[in-house]
Amino acid sequence: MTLNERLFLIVPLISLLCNAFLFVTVLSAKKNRLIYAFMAMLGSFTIWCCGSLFMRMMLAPGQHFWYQVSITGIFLVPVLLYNFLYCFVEARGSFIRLALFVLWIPITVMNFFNVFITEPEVVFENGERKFVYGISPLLMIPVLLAVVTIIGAWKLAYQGVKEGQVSFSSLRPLMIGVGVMFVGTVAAALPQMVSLPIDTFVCGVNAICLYFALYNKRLVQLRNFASNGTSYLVAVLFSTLIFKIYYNNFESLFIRYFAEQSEYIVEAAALSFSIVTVILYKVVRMLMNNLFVKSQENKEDRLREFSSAVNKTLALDEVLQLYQDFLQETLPTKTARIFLLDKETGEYRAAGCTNASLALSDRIALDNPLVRFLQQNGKSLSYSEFQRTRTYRSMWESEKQRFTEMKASFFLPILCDEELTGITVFCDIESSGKKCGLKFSEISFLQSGAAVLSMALKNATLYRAIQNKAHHDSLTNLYNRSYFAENIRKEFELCVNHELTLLFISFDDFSLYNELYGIEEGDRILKKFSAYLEALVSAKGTVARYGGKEFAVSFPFCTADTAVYYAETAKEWLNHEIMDSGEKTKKFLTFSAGISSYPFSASNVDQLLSYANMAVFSAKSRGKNRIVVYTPSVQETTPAENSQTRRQLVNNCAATIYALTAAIDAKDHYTFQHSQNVADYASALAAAIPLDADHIEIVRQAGLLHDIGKIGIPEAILSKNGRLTPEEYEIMKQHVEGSIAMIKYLPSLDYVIPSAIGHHERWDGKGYPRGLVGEQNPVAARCLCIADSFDAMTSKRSYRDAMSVKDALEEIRRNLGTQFDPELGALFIQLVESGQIKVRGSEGIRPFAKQRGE
Amino acid sequence: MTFEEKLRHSAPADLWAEYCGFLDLSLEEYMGIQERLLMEQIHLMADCALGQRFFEGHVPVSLEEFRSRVPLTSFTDYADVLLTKKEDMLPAKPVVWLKTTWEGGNYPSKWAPYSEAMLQTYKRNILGAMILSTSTGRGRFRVRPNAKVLYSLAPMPYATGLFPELIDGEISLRFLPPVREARKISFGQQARRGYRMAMKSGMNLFFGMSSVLYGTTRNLNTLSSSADKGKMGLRSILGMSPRMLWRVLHAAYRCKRDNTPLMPKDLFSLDGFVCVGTDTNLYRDELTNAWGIRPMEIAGGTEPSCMGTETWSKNGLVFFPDACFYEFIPEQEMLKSLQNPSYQPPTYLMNELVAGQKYELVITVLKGGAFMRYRVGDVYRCLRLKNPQDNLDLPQFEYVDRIPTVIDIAGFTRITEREILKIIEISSLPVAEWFAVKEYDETGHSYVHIYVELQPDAKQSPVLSQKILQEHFSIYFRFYDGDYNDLKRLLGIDPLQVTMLPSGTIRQYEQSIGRKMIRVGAPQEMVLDLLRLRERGPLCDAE
Repeated sequence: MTLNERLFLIVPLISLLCNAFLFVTVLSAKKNRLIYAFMAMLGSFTIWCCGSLFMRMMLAPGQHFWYQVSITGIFLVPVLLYNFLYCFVEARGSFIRLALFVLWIPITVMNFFNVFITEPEVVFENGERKFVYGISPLLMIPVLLAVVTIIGAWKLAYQGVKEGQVSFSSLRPLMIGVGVMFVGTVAAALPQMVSLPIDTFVCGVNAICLYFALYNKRLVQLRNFASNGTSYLVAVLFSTLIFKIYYNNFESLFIRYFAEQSEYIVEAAALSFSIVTVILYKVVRMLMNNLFVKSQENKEDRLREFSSAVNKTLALDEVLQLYQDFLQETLPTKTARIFLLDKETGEYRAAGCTNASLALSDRIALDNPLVRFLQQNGKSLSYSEFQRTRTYRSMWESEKQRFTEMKASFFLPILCDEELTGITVFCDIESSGKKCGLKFSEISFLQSGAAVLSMALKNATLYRAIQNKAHHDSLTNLYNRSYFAENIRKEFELCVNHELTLLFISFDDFSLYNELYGIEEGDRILKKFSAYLEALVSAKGTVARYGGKEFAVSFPFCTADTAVYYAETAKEWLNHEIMDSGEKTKKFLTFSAGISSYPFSASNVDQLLSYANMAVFSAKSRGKNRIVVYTPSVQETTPAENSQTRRQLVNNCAATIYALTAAIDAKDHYTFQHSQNVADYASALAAAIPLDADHIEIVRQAGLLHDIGKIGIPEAILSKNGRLTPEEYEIMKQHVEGSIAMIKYLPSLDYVIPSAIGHHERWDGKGYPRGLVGEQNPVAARCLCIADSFDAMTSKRSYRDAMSVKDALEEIRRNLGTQFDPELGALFIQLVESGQIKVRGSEGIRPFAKQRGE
Repeated sequence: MTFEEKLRHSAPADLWAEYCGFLDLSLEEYMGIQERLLMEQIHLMADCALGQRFFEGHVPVSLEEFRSRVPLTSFTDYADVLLTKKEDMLPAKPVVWLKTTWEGGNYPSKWAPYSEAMLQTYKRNILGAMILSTSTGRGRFRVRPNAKVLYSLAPMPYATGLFPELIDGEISLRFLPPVREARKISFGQQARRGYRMAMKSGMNLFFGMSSVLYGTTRNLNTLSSSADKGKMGLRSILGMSPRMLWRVLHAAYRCKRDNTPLMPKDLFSLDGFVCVGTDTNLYRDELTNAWGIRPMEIAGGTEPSCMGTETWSKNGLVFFPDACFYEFIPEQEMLKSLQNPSYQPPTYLMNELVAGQKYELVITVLKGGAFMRYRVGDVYRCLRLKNPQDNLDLPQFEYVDRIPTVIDIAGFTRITEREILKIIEISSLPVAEWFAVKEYDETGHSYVHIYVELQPDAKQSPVLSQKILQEHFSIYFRFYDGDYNDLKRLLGIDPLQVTMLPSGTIRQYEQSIGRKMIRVGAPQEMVLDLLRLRERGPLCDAE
């Protein structure tokens, strides 16, 4: 066989395989009229190459048959090419197309009867086999028609570009393919080229170009190569080749080793062929998968992982972090900024960025034309595409400049229930020096990610809204007490090596204000004050509505001076707001503020809260409308004023306390004396800690009143000689609630409640009534605990003798850390042993009248 | 990406959407863009001394507030800032200053600052206009790189000179003559040289003032007669490109055979034909006939930049939504305010117009421009509110003229009462009373018609015939007003007519109507009534 003969076999074979391969690939693509048009054209190419090849090979049923197949394929090419371009440029309602089909059908039929070209005759020249065709002058008809058809196809393409149906770049592969085919076909007619199978060669090239055009148009995907059909086709072809090459070897080997089973050689060959085909199929499938499917599968896995991760959390920050990671992984060469709709401010605020070094202070206004465009169209687009829209004309220069500064290149909307809840802005990183666009597959992938995110965002936002609702006061929209209590502990953790100051603000006589001016007015001032306080404090601290008329502000990393400054500023504002309201009736509303700070006065959060509370009480007791800073040592900046206010505090309550203690004296004289002793011991202990002077006075008063509830205990139990039965003990335990029930009706003494209520609590939490543990019980109450137990032990009762002081102290020492605060208990022991606390016990019992010096 | 790159790489539909997409706007969308950009301009103005002057301490927060609080302005309100180019008082840093005639005569030129954003908008809009000039329908256009452009518009620092400068980096056009060369020569030389170059190598686009285009067309006819007589120089024939030579010879042969004059359409096949300036409508049919393509008009000026363009059907201007914020004073209100300068006429917005009505245009230049609620002095007629034929939802306009107190001939002059008074003063002519109007001759071309009454003691002088007066006036006009002189120099016309009235005619007429005669731009009816008085017979002299 000469080289030319070999070429006439090899080239059509390659072209045929190429066309058949593409045909099988396209079979697995989603069908539309363009794909069908492409398949029709591939079909014509395939039968052209197939006919040509098999004619050269003189295969059955014969040369005549394969010639007709081949020539029919050739005759169908122009009209099917026109049809393909017609579909490609999405032209509609063309009469020309119909006319061309109508003309080509009879011409193709006429060709069967050898009207234009006669059947080839086989001649041998120089030992080479050649096909010689007879050409009729009538051939000019199909040639001219072919030229007209191809010109028509070009015109379609030109119009498509002109009218914007297709871009020139998308048509380029088609033009190259058709151009190459046209040149090849013309060249094949040249005498110099007649000995080469150039026509079938360009037919294969053209098919590849057209496939590439479809791939560009995103109608077929490379993953289609990895379909079962193509894998089988490749496997069968290779196994046939192997079989063809090695069959003789196989046969000789078989006969040599299995001569006795030579009658089974066909079965053995068939089995071997099948096994080789299956193995090849597996290998080809694996290779195809790795080449064309693996990356797609990786992407799908990534999306699945992202979807599963974001659906597991309801925390907005976590969702955003996951989304950032997803974007970072998907597009490492771009910076993505995530903007989320803030319904309160009505703008899209930067909530995350894949480049942590970029500030998150950017905003996109709700009326930004980009927002409107994304909302209306719901599709992602590049910045350059957006610049082409008419909406872009309404952009402010500052908005354009901001996007330019960001190097924004692509916008991805995050839509949920048709609402634009967020925008992802992709920005170019200029390291490569040139902007890179996004591929269609990347855009689709990002859109899928955004769709997953939108649902997760919706859930997270809803959850955050509910959480916010739970954390906020409905009237003022400030944080509520429970959130504040939780938050201040977090702040304390942060500030453990720094300062943390707490400010409590309580409106004075707010019930009276409500009664005088109405609840609406009360609510109005609460809301206005809240808004002002929040704006005033801003990022410096956390503001909460702590109670009906109380506000709490924490100032991390700040000393008491800061809180004083803010309290005074707020006081001025309130004064101005109330006094200068412009109404005829002059209103009056003030507040008392208490400040405590860590580590100067308090050593933990509970103390911080408790001391600030004390400071408020102190401010109220001193005549209200003032700011008091809780100071542990009794350092009076103005001693005269301090002693005066303390005296005033004592005087204010003295009458009430006198009335109450007189009542208990009348009922149970022991309790009266006991209360006196407890008050003395506890106040001495409080002074030694040291506590604030006002706080000491509160401890003293709490000591006097701590057992006042015993008025309600039956006398039989109170004066019983002998141990109480469990039932009686239960009744006896009720005196604590009884005391509180009585004191709470005395507004001027309500501040002693926290101290009085805790005098039977234990350090280990086993006390009553609330079972508070450790420092949860206020310090004043813990002082009372020790003083109460000590006096009970050192007093003589009708059913037992008094314990010696030494034993009593020993008992306290033994119970340090279980019943008593270890530090306070140790201090108390030290005070008694050093004589700073004089033990009075039952010996010190004096008649009440005598105590008053009467 | 430059415009040329877009032409090569983008689909025509994308290009059309980017530059001409505003024609698809609904009126509501259009007004949305206008309002939004106005608010941007208010923000910019609020931050500068010039804006604070008009806001008087209260920055408008809405369109309604803006229109009710900010007064209508004229160039006098900006003169102290703009004539001295005080850039720190402006809302945005100017990157270029453009000038134009304020009033004819010795008055200083007006200067208008252009910010970077304004230039960008100008560029986008003028490219849009260029696309539209070559379009034959929505989305169908033909703009090609390296097109040859005959550009007969004034060079920098006039607004029309900005186009070649801006376009330079966007698309390579071959200006005839090249821009650098055009800067060094006079306007007239530029037009002549450009035309000569076009005769050698052909042209694809023609940008020019309507009157100049008309003049050029007439010159071509002259050329045609010389060609007939075989006087076309051998040198000029040798300098022509083969294609142009073929066209010239072919056209000459055809004209001789059919005995028809040589028309530009015989020599050139234009892709686009753009004209600007007053009286465009007068020349349009003639130009269409001569060039074989209907000229497309664009609207603009030094203060508003490129403001509007016609579409493919060339039958009405559409204003760009992002060049200026537009307000309109109805004609009656305009006349009222011209008679009583203290009167503040109401304005109407684009969505409040009446078809067929004439309006004086009021603009607020957007994107950092200096002018706010500025009366440009141009009158437009609203042709229609929408154009279903072209599928346009926006109002379309036609340029009518300058406001009546300014006489503009062929887009060159701005003759005012002050200027004529000055000319009478320096000419020492014994003129007692006068008034001037713009009139049109039988061919539809405009001229200034001055009606004069001489002083009683001068009326018997034999040297003061109507013709002598006219020549006298003409000389002083040309001496005093450079723009008027250009009319003569460039277009070869002297559009002045003087009519002497018997003494006392004007006073008698004023007495009959009970008010003063309008000195410049009196309505035609007033002039007719006055002339009718003259024809009634002998009049009592003023003495």
